[in-house]
Amino acid sequence: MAYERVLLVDDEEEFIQTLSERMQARGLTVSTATSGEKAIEIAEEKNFDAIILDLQMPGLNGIETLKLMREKNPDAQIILLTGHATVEKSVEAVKHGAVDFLEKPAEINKLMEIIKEASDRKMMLFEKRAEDDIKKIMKAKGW
Amino acid sequence: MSNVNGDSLSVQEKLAFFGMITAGVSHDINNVNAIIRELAGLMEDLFYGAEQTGQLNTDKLKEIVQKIGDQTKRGEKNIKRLNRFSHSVDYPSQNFSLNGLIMDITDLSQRFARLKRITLSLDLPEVDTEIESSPFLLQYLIFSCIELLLETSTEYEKINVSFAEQNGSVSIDITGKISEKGNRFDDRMNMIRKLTNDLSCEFNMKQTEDNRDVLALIISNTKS
Repeated sequence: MAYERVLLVDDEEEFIQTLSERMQARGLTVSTATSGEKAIEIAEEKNFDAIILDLQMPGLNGIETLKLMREKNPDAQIILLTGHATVEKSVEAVKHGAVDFLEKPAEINKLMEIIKEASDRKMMLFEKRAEDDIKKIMKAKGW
Repeated sequence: MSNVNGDSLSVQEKLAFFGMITAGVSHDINNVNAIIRELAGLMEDLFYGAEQTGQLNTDKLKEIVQKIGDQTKRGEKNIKRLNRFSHSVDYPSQNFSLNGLIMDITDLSQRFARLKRITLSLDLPEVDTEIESSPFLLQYLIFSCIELLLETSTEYEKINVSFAEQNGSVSIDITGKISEKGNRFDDRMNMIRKLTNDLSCEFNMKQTEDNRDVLALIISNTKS
């Protein structure tokens, strides 16, 4: 599973630097941001297969960042990573469109699996959208 | 100042403060743990690579070891602070160093300030003061003042904690800038009043010449 593009967002710089290095060693292309605001900026410029967001950050927190990202890009595959997951928070995250919710520290292999699933899901959404567009064109043209 | 009780506060209110502080520290410790775990994973990746290529990047390895050492120190500080905080409920009244207590509660509040993007600083006198009081309630009071300023300040503001001793009394000043009182202001003030009452100390609010807000706690009858 190579070439997946991932955005890692966490205010713990040392954490995202190290995790990013490990993901890159496994063939992923990784961008990083230390705040929700910066992550939104980067996500507007680049396309990602998966976005991994820390829940508690200064300024915009994970849920707020998730909401804004999904408003701008409903197909964004966002995984929340948090120090202490609660049922309440995970329900809130899923309600706002998070595709998964992981507790930190997460096993790298588990994280890689989830990224792969997110990437596959994004591809399916893309293909489905393209198929719908073709069907619309065909219907409009009466083909 | 041994006339201390916590009668105005419910058990739930005391536990809420205890829980808030311990949850904050445990979150920080978890972050340290997560970093160490990733660094250990990175070392594992390096060793795996070395097995394939026969070459080990020792400079990278040294860098990782250094980072693990730094994170361990960060974790130790957090654990020691948490331990002292946990022991602050051992006795209703104890003799303790005011410098140490103010330093600890300011450090324990740093996470909350960071999340609000507010700089929390500390000015301590060179000479320490020992007092007899409830360290738990006094930390709760100082934290409540910091929390009030955190909730009413705008992002990138500064809050400073300082104290000075004069004629046997100590004044702890928590200085910041109240921009908007918000809907929790009255609750926070209520809590501050209850705590000052239980600690038999005085509380007043004043403004500096440059329009900054000072929450001043005056404690009398210090030991030395």
